[in-house]
Amino acid sequence: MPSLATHNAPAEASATSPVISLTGLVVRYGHRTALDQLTATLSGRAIGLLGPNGAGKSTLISALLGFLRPTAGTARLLGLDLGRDDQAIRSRIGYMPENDAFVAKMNAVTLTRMMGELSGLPPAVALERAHECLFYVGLGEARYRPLGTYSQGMRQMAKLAQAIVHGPQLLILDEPTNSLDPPGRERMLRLIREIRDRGDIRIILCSHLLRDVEEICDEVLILKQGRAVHHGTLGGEAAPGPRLLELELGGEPGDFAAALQSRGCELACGARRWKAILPPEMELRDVYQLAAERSLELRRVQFRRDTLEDIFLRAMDDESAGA
Amino acid sequence: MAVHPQIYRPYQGPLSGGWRRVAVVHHYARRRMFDSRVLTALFFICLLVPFVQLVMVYLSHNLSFLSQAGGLKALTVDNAFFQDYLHYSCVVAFIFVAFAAPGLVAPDLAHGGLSIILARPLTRWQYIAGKFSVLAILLSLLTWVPAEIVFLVQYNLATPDWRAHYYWIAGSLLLASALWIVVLSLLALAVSAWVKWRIVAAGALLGIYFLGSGFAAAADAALQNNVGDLFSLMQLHLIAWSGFFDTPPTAPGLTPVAWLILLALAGGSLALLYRRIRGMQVVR
Amino acid sequence: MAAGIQFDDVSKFYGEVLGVNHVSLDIPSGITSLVGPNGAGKSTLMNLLAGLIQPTRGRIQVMGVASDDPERLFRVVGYSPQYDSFPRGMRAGELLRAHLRLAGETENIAPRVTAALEQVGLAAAAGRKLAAFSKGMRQRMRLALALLHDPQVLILDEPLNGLDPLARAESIALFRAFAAQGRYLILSSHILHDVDAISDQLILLSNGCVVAEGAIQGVRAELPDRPLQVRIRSPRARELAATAFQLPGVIEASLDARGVLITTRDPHAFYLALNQWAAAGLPIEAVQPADDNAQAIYGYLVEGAR
Repeated sequence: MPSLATHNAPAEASATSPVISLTGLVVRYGHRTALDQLTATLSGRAIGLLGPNGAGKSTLISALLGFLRPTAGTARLLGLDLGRDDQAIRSRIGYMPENDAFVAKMNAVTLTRMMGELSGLPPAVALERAHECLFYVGLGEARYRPLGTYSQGMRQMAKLAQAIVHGPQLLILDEPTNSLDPPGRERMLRLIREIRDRGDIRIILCSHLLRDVEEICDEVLILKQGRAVHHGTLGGEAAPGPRLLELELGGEPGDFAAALQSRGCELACGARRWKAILPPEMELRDVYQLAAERSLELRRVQFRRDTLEDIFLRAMDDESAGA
Repeated sequence: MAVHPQIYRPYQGPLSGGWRRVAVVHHYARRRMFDSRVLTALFFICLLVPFVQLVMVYLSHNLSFLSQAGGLKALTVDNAFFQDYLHYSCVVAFIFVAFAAPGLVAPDLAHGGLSIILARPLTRWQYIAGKFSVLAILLSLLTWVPAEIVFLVQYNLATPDWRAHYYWIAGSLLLASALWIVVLSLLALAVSAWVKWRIVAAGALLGIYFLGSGFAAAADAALQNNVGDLFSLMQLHLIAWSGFFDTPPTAPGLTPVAWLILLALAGGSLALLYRRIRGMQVVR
Repeated sequence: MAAGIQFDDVSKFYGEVLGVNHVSLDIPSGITSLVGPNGAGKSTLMNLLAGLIQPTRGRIQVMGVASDDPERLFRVVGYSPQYDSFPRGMRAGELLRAHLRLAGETENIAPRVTAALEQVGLAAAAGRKLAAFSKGMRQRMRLALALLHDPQVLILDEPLNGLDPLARAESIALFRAFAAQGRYLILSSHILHDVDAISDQLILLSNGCVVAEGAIQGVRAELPDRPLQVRIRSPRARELAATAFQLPGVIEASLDARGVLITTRDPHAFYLALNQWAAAGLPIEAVQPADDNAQAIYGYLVEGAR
């Protein structure tokens, strides 16, 4: 029996007000049901929206932005009702789409200020803020050149700038690190973290890169075939797995493996990385003792805990097992 | 010394009202249009027609000059004159639209710009209104505004008898122009939304117009009646205008059909345009 | 040696524009990741390997086949580029069949096509038009095309781009299985975390030159002027920091939200000392190298990355 939405809402959820409340949201295209009775309340600072392709993530985002009308169900964003207060909602949302989003032959300054004015900023303010935001994302002189001449990384930054120019309360980022090279990724993730840490802007991050989501988000909603298959919090508070230890060694292991096994450990030895299940009476201290006796370097020592990837793959499995 | 780190600042100031957004769309569309020197030049060239008409009207009140110049027959300035004048203005205005309109909607669509434009507090109707208003204002400046000026000059120079007889032309000029502006703007916007390349879009519009006229003429000649006129944009309007200007209709009995076709064109273009303006990219 | 991939002082220029400059490599079997900023020469290197372009200077040998011998080279190498343009109106199965025929194969076409599709998880989409494929499906289709003729060498340009986590995990499993057969897999990626997790070797390119190559740990060890950084989480962080700082070789011990960051010139001595302290009772929760990974190496060696 598949679990539709497991709520692991911790105590701190009550401290932050809900950003989005979905109740029985249904979206149908002809015969195809893209969102199927989706019900969830999201209240994290940064919420990860995950799922395989075709799960309904884009549909959900389009519905929240008012690009399409849900077939049934309701949604509340930032205290406003979708369907009734659409314009007010959109004035509080910043959207960074996955694909290219610019007007042909326009430069970054014109585009950003036009977006600012369309969101209601007075023209003088829009121009000032456009420059501020372009500076903030790191677009320098290039801002006076047409966006069509930009590299992918610069286009991503320009997209972020237009999403924040009007000072939104909710930022929806769809694959923000797409096509960025390592320094670009670092920069983008750093900017997103800074925005998240401000506290007055909530973020919805839609990405296939689970590592990024783990790093940034404190709440995660996983969709599959239009339904929520997992909804919970992320963070260091996740209890470490029972005694599963990951090791990375330096130097000759010698009889280290045998020594561990004689103490009751189960071992799986890869080329560099070892996994050990410690018996209940054994402590990490004992492992170090054995390593010290053999002058072995323990370069990495980590108790394995559920990564987001584990959670994701498990959520996918649950669904197909029960389906 | 104080160090000011560059950080993101939130915005808490006032926001403009809904219909201000239409003005924003208008402003940037118009600015973009006149960034092109070719279009600006074309616009001013198109203003030559009213200028010529103004001169002719003035001359018609100074027949002595004409007879001195020799050979130019006297001009009768009446309702038919104004209808003809508007006819020429509108043809010229159309040429302008054919080159100006394609750059209105296509650039927003080409690179996904609509997905961020429509993510703003802006309805699709407001967006369309903004773009439409650019064409409406420019076309007005090319059609009824100079026409009314010419009419005013004529009115001033004319006899009270003429004034009493023809005062209503002022209103007709406005209505006839409005019909032309609405039908053509919507058609041009629809083409701009569906055709990616500007040259092709311009070609399509010119084609619709001139091929239609050509076909109409040929059909008329072949069928020995005026049904072919229904294929020509200009003829359709002239048929409708005969009502405004109280001139004898070119094709009696076809007037209601012509009106229907014009309204269908306008409505159909608007529907096509609306369909194309979407924020969400369609995923197959 | 009729095995392995060798670049012998290879340079490639497009007119005046630099592709790669003086590249010499000996790539072993297994998974090798190609990393570098945009414009560093990754695509050039891959195109050279695949035999799609010829070097301006130098020689390239792939499994004993010279790169200017397309007949033999294209059988040995499978290439999946970053972008695609599939022929109009074709369906998945059709395209694969056509490719096999173009390669001169006549036997066993249908089962091989089915096998390739199954390998990448597109078996159900064999009859669908390619124009209707999503981004992830197109990525997998490119992979299928590269694997189709059972090559010894696979060259993949950003193969995990656009794939959802499930498909990524499946692709990674596929890569590992491929490499485990003793074959050669060269892929380029911007996601350094992936590079760390799946590759055996790393080639770091910058401005057309190879600035580092080899197993990641090995590369790190060759940067002795950069002291090693280790991050340790412990409930008695202050004590640990103070104790560590006493050790000769440790030049910095700092505390932050994530624990103690130790910077040391003598990692070996440090690890042995840590063993002693931990065995004596100092509680340790986690130890991990802070900069012995692709991310750190990239930052150190690639200009303008920091």
